[in-house]
Amino acid sequence: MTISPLPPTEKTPPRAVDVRGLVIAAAQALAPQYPLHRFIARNPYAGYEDLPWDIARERIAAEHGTSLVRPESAYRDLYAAGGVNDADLTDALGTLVHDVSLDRVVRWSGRDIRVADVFIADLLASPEAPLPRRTLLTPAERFAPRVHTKIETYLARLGARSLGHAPAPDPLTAGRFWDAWRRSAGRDLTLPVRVRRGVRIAAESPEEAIATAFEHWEVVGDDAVALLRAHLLSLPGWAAAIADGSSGAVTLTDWLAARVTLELLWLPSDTPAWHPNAAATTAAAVVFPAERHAERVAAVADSLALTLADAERAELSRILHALPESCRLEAWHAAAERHLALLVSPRSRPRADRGRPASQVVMCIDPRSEGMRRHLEASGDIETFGFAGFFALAIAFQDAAGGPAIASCPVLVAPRARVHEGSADQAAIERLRRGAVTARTAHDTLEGVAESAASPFAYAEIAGWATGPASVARTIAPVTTARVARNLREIVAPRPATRLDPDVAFALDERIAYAESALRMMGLVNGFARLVVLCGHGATVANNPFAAALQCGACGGHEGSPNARAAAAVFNDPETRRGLDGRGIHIPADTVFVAAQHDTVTDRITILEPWSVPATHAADLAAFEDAAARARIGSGRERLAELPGAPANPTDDVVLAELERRGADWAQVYPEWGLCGNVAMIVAPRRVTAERNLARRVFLHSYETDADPDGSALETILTAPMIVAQWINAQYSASTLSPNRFGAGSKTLHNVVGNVGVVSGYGGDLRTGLAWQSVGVGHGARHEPVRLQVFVQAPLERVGEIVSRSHVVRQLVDNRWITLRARADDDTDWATLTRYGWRTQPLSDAPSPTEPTPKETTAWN
Amino acid sequence: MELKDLTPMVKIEIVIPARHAPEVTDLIRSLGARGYTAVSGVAGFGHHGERGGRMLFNDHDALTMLITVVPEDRADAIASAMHPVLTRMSGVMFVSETAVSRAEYFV
Repeated sequence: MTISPLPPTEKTPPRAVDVRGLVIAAAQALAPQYPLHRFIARNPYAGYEDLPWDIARERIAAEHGTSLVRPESAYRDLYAAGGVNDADLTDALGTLVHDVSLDRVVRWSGRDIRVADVFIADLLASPEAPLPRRTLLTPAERFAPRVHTKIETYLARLGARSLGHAPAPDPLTAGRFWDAWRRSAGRDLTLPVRVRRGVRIAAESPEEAIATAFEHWEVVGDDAVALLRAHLLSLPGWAAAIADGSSGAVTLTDWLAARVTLELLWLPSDTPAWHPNAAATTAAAVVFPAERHAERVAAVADSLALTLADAERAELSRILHALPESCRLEAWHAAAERHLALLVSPRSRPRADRGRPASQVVMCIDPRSEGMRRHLEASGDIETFGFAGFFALAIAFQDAAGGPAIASCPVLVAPRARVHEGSADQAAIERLRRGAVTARTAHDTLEGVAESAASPFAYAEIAGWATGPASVARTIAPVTTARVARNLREIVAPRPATRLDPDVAFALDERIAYAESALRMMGLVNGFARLVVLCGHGATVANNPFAAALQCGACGGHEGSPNARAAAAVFNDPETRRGLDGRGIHIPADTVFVAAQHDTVTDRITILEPWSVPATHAADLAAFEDAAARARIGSGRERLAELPGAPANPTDDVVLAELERRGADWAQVYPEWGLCGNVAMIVAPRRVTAERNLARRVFLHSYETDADPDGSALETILTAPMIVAQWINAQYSASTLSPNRFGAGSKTLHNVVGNVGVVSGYGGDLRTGLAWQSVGVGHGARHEPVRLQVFVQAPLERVGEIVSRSHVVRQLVDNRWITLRARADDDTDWATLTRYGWRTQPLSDAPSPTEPTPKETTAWN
Repeated sequence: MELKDLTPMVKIEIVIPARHAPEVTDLIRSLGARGYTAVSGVAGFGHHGERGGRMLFNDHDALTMLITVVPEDRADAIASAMHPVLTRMSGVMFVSETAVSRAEYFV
């Protein structure tokens, strides 16, 4: 056997046979792009998290022209508003400044000055750090911007045509894309003659076409990957949608081949040689010239009102060198994170026996549940728990109406079994299916035509006479129209009393194993109430392409009701209970599990299978529903106070009416705030966070060390729910920091392209993140972009072992994409896990547990 | 059948995060591999410490081992194409000599 030494072609441009590997390598910069119906937990930084955060910050600046942090002016405004203080800055500087002690005191101009104060003056007064700029450019972008614009316009049209749902078969999506595209582009009169001619005689395969470009630009090794990367990141939305694979016929290799071929043919023959900017791959994207340092020294001296002698000035200069200018924004960012972490950090609250509660409610870890849990606890004798909203059952759900099965589980996992909805009343199921088929066919036809890139105008001409009056009704009376539509659906397809079949889908040992995992993960292994409500969540919204982003992240962007119903059936299953008994978890015979759903827009909690609740527990259920009704008003009033356009000081009736209106109003761009403001995840017993208003900013996962003897439950929490929480946190931060690159811009400009995504206006790149209305109001950001702050109440050794064992968690911690704090119990200080071990971080300067109400920060976009 | 009757082939084993398995299997098939075996949930220890581990609800970050057997002339292309992939994502590749009884399945 003779295998060529690797790599075989470092000194010559890669061959066609190497192209697909290079494409995969280049595509690591693309974030996963899910279609709209499961647009959830999309982490734009995923491809960079194998790098330390500070290195990734430079790389992202070079490749995307955007930043992982706010501009310095925004941090200074935050400081002025009290969102960062000197203690936060000093703590952050402590991790970044190593060559000089922050506690050292220098004597300049006859005054004693603490070194920490010198750096704080630097952060507040020095010339602002420059904004990042994209340096990894395609040859056309660098040498012929006009040509580049024309190519981008053409490719955006090509993307919409290839991936959007066309009302009729498109030749481009039939057969081999490369052949179809060459035929199509070769006749496209919008392209210059020489380009058309060149396309017609281009290489026979996309791999050869890309190899031709490598040869033309004489790129070898890493430069070849950089060339492809520059092209992918020029229109990252379309590229990511193609990489997702849902496009079918077109592959990334096809897409890149079309790009580089057009570019070669379109650029003038005297275009200079291309070479990727070294800054894009290896060094800082932003260069700070030496003279800026002198300005820094002068600014600090002015700020501290110092008249410095030469020797003193030299010493100040030396001290400032200990904090490179490129690290200043990191100091600000860490300080802002610390400030928020202190606000939400759990306090000490020793265990106390509260007796058997009237009911227990398990809600999703989604930060929105925090508000409802707090109000439920205040409205009755209710104990609440936080757990991932799929309730440990990764299922494909097939509803009784017969639509396609949905993956109702985190995107991290594949469904383990298919759960069906059914009823003993077969005639009713048949009626439901017939009605549903009629409704689905009409809906799919209309939506398909309306959302196709090719047919919306024709649709308006043909169907406008019918949809016009309906549009007027939806605009003038949204709640009534929605009610009428619901009633019509009930007439066309009446829904009978149904149940799910997890007992068929899962074998007994699986049911026992998943039930035990869930209970141990949430620390509910004894003290069961008579009524345990498993409460999933969903969001009622109208006319919102990003509706999936408001649904349950643990259910893959779907409502959590199927999982709550399936889990309740499993926990009520006598055989499962017997199995749990054998594993040390005794669920009393009088305990009944009930499925419910929390609507995060209307704050209504609906019991999903009232027919499954035995008469013996009717009073318990009624008491819970009363408490839920009171909690709804409390939570709703609190949320409305933060939503744009909501009435001030509303009465209870106005609260309820306004919540319903926001869910039904198709012109409402702020139905709810979603997970805006999320800042932390707390894995701990509820008692350490109870009775505090965490303002719906924290993922709350219940956990009791005692219930998890071998640590496997905590390992599952840190390797699954925490990962999804980090993705969501990154998604919100990126959409806030870079609304034009990683966000989706304003909702009011969106045009839906099939099920793939949205574009702003009539074309351009596919938007990849959350709409601005998910993270901000007007020009001001509401979300505060910070890395996820994780608090775990568990023995440090246990947490450390899990981090060591799990690469995915270790990478997030070591590369500083999250901050992980732990404490063994209520009596010990929090310690932060660093590359060098645990660093104890007393939270003694934390403010008293007041309410960290999210606030609008100054606009920086 | 004796050992001398077997047909020499090259075995390529690739360990990568499961989320990358589809693109890598596409790659090796496009370069002439007639099939592969995927072993999910593998664990181990290497340059970057422990990998794999107990992940009840995380298929995304679990490791998968892909095994393919190809004639020597195709092994070169696969090994070459995998090189840039493995420099940009975590994973390892092992290439070794092997032999098969039904060569027609692999060519």
